[in-house]
Amino acid sequence: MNGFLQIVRRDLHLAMRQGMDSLMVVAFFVIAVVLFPFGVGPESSILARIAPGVIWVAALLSSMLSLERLFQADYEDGSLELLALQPVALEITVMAKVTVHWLTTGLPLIVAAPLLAVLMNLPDDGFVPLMIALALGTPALSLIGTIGAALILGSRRGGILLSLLVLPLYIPVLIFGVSAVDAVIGGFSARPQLLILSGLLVAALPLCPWAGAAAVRQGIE
Amino acid sequence: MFHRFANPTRFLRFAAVIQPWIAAITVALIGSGLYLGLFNSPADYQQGETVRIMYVHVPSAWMALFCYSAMAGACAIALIWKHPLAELSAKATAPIGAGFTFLALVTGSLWGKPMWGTWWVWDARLTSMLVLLFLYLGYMALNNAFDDPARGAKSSSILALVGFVNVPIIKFSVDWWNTLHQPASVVKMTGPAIHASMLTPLLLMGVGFTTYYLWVMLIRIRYEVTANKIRTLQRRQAATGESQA
Amino acid sequence: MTGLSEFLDMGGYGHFIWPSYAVVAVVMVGLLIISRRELGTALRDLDALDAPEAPEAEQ
Repeated sequence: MNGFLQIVRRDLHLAMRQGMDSLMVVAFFVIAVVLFPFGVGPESSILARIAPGVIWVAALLSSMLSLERLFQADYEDGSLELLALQPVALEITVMAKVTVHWLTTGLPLIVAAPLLAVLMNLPDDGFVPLMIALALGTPALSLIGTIGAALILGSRRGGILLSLLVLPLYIPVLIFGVSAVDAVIGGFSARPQLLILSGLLVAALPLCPWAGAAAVRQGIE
Repeated sequence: MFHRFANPTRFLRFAAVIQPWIAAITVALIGSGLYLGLFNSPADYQQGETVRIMYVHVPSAWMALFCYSAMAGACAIALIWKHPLAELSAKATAPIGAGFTFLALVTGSLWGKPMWGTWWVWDARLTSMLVLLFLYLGYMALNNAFDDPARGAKSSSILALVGFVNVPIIKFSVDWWNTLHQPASVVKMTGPAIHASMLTPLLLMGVGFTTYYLWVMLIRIRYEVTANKIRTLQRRQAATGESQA
Repeated sequence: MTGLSEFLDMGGYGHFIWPSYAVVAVVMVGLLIISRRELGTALRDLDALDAPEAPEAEQ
């Protein structure tokens, strides 16, 4: 636990010194969503219909943008190899990286989501399920994305390759995240969708750090 | 049996011997499947002649999934037992599987146009095939994204297994999503029930496609082993060249 | 003759059936040919690398 917190604290320090990163992720999130009214027209009913999907897709893309740098700095200056040699298991190190990614990307997205829901004319019923679904889904996105970030270490075309690897794996979270919001807006319960999202998160919690650590190990060989 | 073929050279010799046989069997199976499918089987009660597309669409879809499973299995063997040919067979399988996935999509689209009136329909199966295509492309891209091919192989092996675990999840998600958004009546792509006169050419094509896969996979594995040898020789020659300088 | 043109027409669906078979043929045969060509080139390259080594080994 101690080693985990140490890595989290250290990475958060670095992230906050760079400060801009979280703000830029949120800025991208907002800009991406704002593009849609320009694209499809400002008619309220259309925007309301596509609001959950647009917000979720933008959240996916924003979450993905900051993945590339997750291991990059440590990989380049050799500290990743040192982390792998520590008595703290590499899986815990990876989990720490996931946590930092969520704190600096997922959490700001959740905070910014209500603003975007207003811009997209999301019906009032949809706000709460959107927040809950994002709260369950963004950690899963961080977990899945971290595997991708580890797999591309040392590769030639990092960032764009990462998108191709990670986005197909994001699709289940996207489908159930949007469905949860649509269900409540339509007058139904979102329980099944939220349960499935929770299930995906619970399954990802042990599996993703394990796969991520395996990927880091092969990356630093 | 696997241990015998851990030696690449022995495998190469074995591959060269059985390859012509597999080629002959493939041609025979696909040939007879085509003959029966095009000339000797009835049109469908509901779908008319378009059902003949089934004889290439369904085997392609089978192979798309079969190849991905074979690829994931080989990657698991590579990661756990480090069998030298396992990684190579996975790498060899990927473009074949991707090709079949692409064919499943295209023939599905061509079958769908007369049936549903549009070139593309977000039918659950076609959508899942599309995601599967991206999984294949991701694997191939990652495999080729490293200067050291061994690194690419290991990295993409992990990806293949992560993808494999996700295939049922993606399938479930897409089915869910599709039932929410599709109208209730969707023409099933294979029609109500398969008559024996349709089943025979379908199975012939299915087995024929599988032996075709083995045929091309053998060629590609031979290529990968040869390419590895070339790399090793080039490195050795560069080393001896330097020591003589 | 009418038999053949009827067969090709496939009840009006020929425009979908034949392109389907065609694209399948192109992809499968194409993949086979490309793979064989890659293998042939690689085997030739391997022989080229092996050959100059042989006289050196005899020294």
